[in-house]
Amino acid sequence: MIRWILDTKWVPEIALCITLLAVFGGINAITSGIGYFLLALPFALASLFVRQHSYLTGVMLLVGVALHIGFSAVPSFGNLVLAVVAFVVGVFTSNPWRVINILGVSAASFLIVASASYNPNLSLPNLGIIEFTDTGRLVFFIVGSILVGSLIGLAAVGGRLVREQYLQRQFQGNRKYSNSQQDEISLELAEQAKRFEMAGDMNESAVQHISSVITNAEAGLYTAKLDPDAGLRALDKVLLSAKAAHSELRRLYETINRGTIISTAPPTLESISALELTMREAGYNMSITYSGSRVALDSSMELAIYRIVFEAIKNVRQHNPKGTMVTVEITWFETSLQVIIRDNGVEVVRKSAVGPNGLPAPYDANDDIDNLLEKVIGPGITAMRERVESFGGSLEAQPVVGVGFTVSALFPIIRPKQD
Amino acid sequence: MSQSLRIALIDWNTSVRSARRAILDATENLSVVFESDGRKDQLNQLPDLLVDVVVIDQQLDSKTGVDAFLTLRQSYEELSEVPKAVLTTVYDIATLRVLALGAGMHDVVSIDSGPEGLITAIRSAASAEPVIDLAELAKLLTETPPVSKNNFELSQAVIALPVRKKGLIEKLVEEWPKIKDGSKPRLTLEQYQPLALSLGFLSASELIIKLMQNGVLNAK
Repeated sequence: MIRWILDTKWVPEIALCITLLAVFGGINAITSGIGYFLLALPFALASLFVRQHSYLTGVMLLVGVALHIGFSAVPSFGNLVLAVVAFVVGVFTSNPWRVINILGVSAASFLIVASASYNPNLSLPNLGIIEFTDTGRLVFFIVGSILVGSLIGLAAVGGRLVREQYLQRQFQGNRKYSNSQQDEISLELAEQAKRFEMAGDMNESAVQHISSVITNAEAGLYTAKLDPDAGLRALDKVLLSAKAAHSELRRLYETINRGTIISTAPPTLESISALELTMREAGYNMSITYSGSRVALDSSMELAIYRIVFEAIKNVRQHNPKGTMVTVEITWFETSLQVIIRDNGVEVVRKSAVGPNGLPAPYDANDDIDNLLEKVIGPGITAMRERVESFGGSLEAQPVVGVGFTVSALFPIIRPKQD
Repeated sequence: MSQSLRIALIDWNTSVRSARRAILDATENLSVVFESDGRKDQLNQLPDLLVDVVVIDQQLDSKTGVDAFLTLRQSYEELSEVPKAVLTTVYDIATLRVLALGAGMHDVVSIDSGPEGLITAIRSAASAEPVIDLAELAKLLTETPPVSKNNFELSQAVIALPVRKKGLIEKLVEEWPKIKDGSKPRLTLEQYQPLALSLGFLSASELIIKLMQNGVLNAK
């Protein structure tokens, strides 16, 4: 509502002005005649200029008070418009006009009360005051001023309160938006960091391959010197191009791994066994099974498989209690290699939380549906998927209802042809 | 006919190792008597093989080449029995060179050096011929200062040195700022070799790096 008022020019003010005139001017006309309807008009018009041309609000108040005094009018329902004007000024007007117009409304109200107090047309007995004396008029002025001052003050403070609440809600909205933006950036950054790590791994692997090419080519050249043949020249060319490739890769490696020095050799499939011990030391059970006929893999693929298993069991440690069982199954098929990492973390939690019937906490069809519909996202999963996809494979990560979580990666492999 | 140098080849990359073996075996007076991917159980056999030079790659199966050499030298009872070591690496970086020299290794050879570079490094290691002089070492350590490491035992050993040997260190401390600034040193690394051995270091370079790490060379 406030948003609409703020975004729309004049229409809200005109609507308010007409409403005030119809309601309070109408009551005035019914109770005191058409003259009092006209007396309500300048105060209603004062509300027309609360946001734009605010000085005209003060002018209208002045006109209204002058008419009141000029016609020796007594207080009427139409004067309540002043409280509404004070409220609207509190909500929509900015400083300094807010302060000026609230003071203007207050001054107009006090003048009306003062005018009424000493108005010869005012019939005090009708208000319950028997004595029509100077003291009675003074008491009327003081009590009236206090009441009017309180009403105007309350209206102005109420207006400010509405404005502050609106601003607060707007701030909260902005903060939520900013938080969601920050979350998105953090996620993106985490994914970038993982990609960066992958790029480092891939590059290191490539550097190793090229080193091997260079050393072998050099060995070929060196040994051929004892028994020169035509292959020497070709070998020389291989060496030159391999060295150029190596220099390029080295520059990339230095850029990616700035500040680090060469570490130990990259992990292989055999290194996965060492993770078993680490998990046991941390209080988790882990078993690794291999099946099928093994084939030699590229070291970068072995590294990718190791990283996927490492990331998956790291997630198990992060999200599941101690005692959770992790199984890693590495299966060699004819044209693919499947790596499955399962855990039973949910089952462990469920079994430890006993329900009212003394049995483990149950799960129902809704849990099943939730699991099927739930999209598993996160920088770790994304990085794992990207690793597998870079070898032309695929990765599935899915919670298993009532049991835990399963990550399954499928890598394509090529078996050497048997003669 | 001179006796062949006995070489140990330690490298995680089997392909690179076999290529290096082919190079060394095809070279006169060099023979590879030991090959390993750097596993500790295999390295334990080295002291019995009377190896002259160990060619060790920085990238090993479970640790770095520098760390593996530090472990290896502890398995020798006498410091003089420890073979000279040449560190091979994908590329030569100053940080790694400082680490290697600080570990008592003789030289660092990058893949860019080619077979000739490797063979030259092996021969100079066997003859204990320094590959770096004091000015070059000072320049290297100025550009890539080693990580400070307080070694109380070294401080005590320096204090307990006879006056003449202590005088050598005092002279180095005095000269060091000038050498670092590029002045031609009046001292040589060879002068410090006996002192290095008496303090339990394999080379004068190692001694100087350790003194620098201990803050001795920066003392006013």
